[in-house]
Amino acid sequence: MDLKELYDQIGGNYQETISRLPSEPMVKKFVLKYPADPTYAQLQAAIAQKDWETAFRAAHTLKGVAQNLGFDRLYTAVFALTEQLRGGKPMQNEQDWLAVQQAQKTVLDGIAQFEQQ
Amino acid sequence: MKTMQQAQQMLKAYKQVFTYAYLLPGEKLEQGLAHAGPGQAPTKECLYCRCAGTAKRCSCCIGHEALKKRDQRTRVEYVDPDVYQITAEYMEVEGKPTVLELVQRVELSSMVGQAGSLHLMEMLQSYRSRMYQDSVTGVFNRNYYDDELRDRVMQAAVAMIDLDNLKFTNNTFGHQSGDLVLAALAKTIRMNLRDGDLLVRVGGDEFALVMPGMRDEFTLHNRLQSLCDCAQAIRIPDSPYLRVSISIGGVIAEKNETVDSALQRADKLLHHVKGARSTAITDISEKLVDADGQERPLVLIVDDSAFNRELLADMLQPEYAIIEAGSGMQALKILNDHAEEISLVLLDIVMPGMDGFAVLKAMENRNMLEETPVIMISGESANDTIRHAYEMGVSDYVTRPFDERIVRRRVNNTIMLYARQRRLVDMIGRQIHEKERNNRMMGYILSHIVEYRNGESGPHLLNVRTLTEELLNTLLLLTDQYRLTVQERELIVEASTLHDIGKIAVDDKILNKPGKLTAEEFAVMKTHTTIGDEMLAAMTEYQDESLVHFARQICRWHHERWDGKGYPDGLKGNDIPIGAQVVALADVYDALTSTRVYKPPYTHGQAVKMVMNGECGQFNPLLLECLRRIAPQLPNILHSDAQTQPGCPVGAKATEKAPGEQQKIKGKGKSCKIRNTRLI
Repeated sequence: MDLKELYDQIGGNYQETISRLPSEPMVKKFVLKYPADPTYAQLQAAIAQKDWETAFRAAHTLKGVAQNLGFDRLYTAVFALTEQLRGGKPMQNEQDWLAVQQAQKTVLDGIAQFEQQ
Repeated sequence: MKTMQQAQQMLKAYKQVFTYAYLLPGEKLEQGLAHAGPGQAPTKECLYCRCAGTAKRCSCCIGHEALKKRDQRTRVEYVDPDVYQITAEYMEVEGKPTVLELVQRVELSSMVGQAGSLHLMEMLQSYRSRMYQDSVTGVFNRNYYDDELRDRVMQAAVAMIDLDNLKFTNNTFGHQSGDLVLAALAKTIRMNLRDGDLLVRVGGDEFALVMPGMRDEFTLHNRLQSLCDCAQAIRIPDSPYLRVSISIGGVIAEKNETVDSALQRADKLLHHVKGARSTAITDISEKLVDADGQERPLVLIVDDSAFNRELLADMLQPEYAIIEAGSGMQALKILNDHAEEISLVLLDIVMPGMDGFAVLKAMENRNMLEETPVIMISGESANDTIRHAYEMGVSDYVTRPFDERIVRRRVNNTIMLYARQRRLVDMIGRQIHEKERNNRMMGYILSHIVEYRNGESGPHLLNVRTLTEELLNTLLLLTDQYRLTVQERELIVEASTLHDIGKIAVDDKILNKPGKLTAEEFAVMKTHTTIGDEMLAAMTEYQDESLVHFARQICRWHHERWDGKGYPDGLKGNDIPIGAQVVALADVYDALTSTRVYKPPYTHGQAVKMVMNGECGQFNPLLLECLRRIAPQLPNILHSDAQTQPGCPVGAKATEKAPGEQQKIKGKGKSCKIRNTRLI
């Protein structure tokens, strides 16, 4: 599985990403770093504790990371969640959060698979 | 008119002397020309292109010329290594137009004598050098590069040297200055080259430097860096503000690489350091060190996500050194500690604690935004946010997702812009400083000329000036009754040194009389006020200038008194312009603390007391308050005779006296009134 295939699998846009960050080793490096990034965990914890301010910031940050890496499906999901939480509002609609969780899982699984080979 | 037979006989004779001889029928000649125009290879039918028997194109055949003009033409052809002289003569053979062509191979040494050939060589050389020499700098020019260098393959180091800010120099100082700088730079570089090194001006502000035989990167880097240093040291006579700064990119040519290819690589490297001045870069440059020993530009990245920081850091390396902050507070701390060194801040908006805008506000409060540009980075692309960021003083705004090339460009552009601004500020500051110094000098010189005549010592003017400045500043702190701009304040201070220029019209005998003045003499003495004013009024130029305006006031009214009993006009209170009031006080004070023919200097303490007590003139109470306030500093900031002991006889001090002055001491018991009289 090469990087492009990984992107296809997880709903990312490889072409667009490589045009912005023209170094493939660099993209690879950061893709492999992604699982270790604490933002998702922060988001999860904040939601569990109903700390909506923190949740918003974490969602916003996660959105940026996904955007930079070109993880489009994840980005779209997080975007919706971020908008919901904007201004520190409590989460009304669980759907968005579920979508994020799902997208995240797909990404992590894909990267794990990519890493193993 | 010849017959064929005659013609052939003639030809035979010629063939004995000439290398080749031909009889060319006119018809054939014309046909031949149709075959071989300029640039075309001659065909067998081209009779006339048999010059020297080589297949050489003749773009303007003299045979044809001779045919057309019906006369004789001669031409010299150079076919390496021989020279050929060709003569074509028109003649008619049996009625038909014909050309007799005679070709002679010539020994160059026999054609032109020894001296002649040297001269010929020189002419050819100078023509060549004119073709290949840059007129401004004297080094090789672009033509030379294109003809001789670009496609050469040689073992050498190749560098591209770029002169910084040539356009700015031309705009500010004129094109001649730009040329001077170029010439000086070329000269300096050539002085530092080895034999065999080639310097070529390949562009308006670009030079290529080829150093054959250099293999080692470290040596190359050192040589280039030392060239940068030499450039920085250049001073142009008559233009002390001009500074020369260059950037150099250098590479070692690879095997089988042309000079041009190496130069292009060097040029690419050069563009990395264009922002920093006086910097040399080669492939081995890990640190980019400029002549001041500073490192590559330092960029502060502020973002709470380590991931984002690292992404940005990766994008900006290796050109920039990076320092990171994970929060607003951390960012501010780093900014405080490293204020001068940070070239740019990349700032995220959404952060816990202090967000990006709060950081901006704090930077604004500490006046950092003028020196340190901020580029805001965020995923927020709402126009409101962007607008707000700009209102708060960011230089630029970049949104996610990051495009590496765009981010780098913007960072580079912003840094270069601010760097240039700093250079300009430096340059302008230096100029202004110089100009002000010169202005002040002129003022002093003028006043000294006048003061010399009445035996004043140098420090008097300095002191009056200092006192005027201190009193004015203190006054404007005490009250806003007197509306004066900073500029007006400065002008009054400058004009204060002119207060006694009217004395130049006062007779020497009166001016330097050691004894008491008679009433008539005193009347004359008093005119130095009005004369000073009139002298300035008589100037046709500069009547509108504030400096002249204040100077006239001060000259005319620095002997008026607050109670109206002064001269020449008896002005009272605040009718006296404040500049004149201040100078009056300064003048009196300095006279008290100075040595005079008729009295020793008082101490500062005594002088202040006397003035405050109204013993030596009447002054604005506000001004007296000012004097009281600044009194403690005065011994330190004035150059007064009063530093020494009070009551010290004049004779014991070695003061400079104007010729004709008597060293007579008047008795100590004189009342201030008489002292007043003399104090003018």
